[in-house]
Amino acid sequence: MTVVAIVGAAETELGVRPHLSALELHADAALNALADAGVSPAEVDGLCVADPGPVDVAGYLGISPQWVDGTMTGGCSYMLHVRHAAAAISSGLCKTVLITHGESGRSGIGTVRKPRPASSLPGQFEMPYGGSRAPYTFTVPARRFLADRGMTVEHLAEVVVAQREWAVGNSRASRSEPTTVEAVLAGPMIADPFTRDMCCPVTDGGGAVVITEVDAARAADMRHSPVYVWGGGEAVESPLASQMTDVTRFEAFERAGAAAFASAGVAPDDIDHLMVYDPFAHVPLYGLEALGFVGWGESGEFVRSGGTRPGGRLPMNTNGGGLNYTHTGMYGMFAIIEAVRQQRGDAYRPVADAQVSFVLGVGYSFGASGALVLSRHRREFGTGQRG
Amino acid sequence: VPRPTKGIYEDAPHIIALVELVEGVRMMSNIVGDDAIARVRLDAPVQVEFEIRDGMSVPVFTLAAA
Repeated sequence: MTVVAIVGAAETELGVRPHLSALELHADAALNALADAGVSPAEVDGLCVADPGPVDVAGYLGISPQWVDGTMTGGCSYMLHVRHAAAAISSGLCKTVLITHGESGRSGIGTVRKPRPASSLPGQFEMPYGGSRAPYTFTVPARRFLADRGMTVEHLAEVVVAQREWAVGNSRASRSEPTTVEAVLAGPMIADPFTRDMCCPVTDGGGAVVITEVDAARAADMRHSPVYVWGGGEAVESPLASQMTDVTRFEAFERAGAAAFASAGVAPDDIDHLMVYDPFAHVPLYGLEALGFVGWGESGEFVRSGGTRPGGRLPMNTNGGGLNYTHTGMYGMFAIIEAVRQQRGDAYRPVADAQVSFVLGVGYSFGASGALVLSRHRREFGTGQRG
Repeated sequence: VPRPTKGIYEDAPHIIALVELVEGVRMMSNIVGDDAIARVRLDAPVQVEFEIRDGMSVPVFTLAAA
């Protein structure tokens, strides 16, 4: 019976920012989001942090939450945090939850790239073969996906081009110049089939959101229109590409997505804005098909024909995505913040009349997924009922 | 993959593959051998052999004769 909303959302400086450590990025993001919400740090009684975990960030901020969540599922951790926070608030465990992200992915200040130990599953079964980084382990699934559907590398380039349109001219985006399929394909090869622009940039940055219960009276007093959390889902599969149930579908996308649709009481036709975490250009194609926005094998043509571009039927990755906007390493927070902006109507490139956003996250390559349904309209969390 | 993985697998460029064994297991490995990069295809039949890497004997695969 609880109506829960994101009432604050903000980012830090983005790009190459070696003067800010990961912890400072967390703190800057937290203070920016609290200011955006008009909520004081003392009101925060719940905290979610994936890395380095809630203890470090609570101590640095000088806050004393009575509920914390350190769920770490890679780049989709923040989708799970929003879902967990909404459930915790609904259960009365806390009232006001802060979720922070800060990562010095480019400069490495306070962010340490830890190779998985040799005894881990990737250490045993992928590292000995050079499967040391996501662009390498993603290669074979992407090639198989394209081949089975009669698609080509041009379809991967089309994803980059379509998403770039959303970022053109945005000074906060890492890649903001218009591009073409030919230019994307002519870029340096990172690992077949991925050329450089089919892979996300690596940046420094942070972001945070504030979530709380919102009754009708409070909603009228908020600095910005609340963005209501209608529902969510989460799923995990395997840290190993070789152990995916089917390398040409990401089953965790399907399970997390189905849970999010069901708990929000909506279907794909109700969604008019989509964010799919895109570390590499094939992942949005997997997402479009897994969520049922298009049929099997139709994702490439849907993107190529403009379905996800400005003015298209289903605007997707409207900040440019991780491929163009920014990618600190665990990008999921930025996908959520963009959905909040679209629902508030204050995005850099607003979607006309966006009413309901769907946000799909991926983590640990094809290891984990989290999904959220967010809207400007009031609805109870997780029941599909009007609040 | 054009670049080596330092300290573990320094051959570059190299081929990362997902290999389905007749026993029903799917595993990551490498396709090795002369001309492998020019000849490798999805669904290509392969044959196991073993290489010593970082002190470990690891199964790798060569393209079987067509």
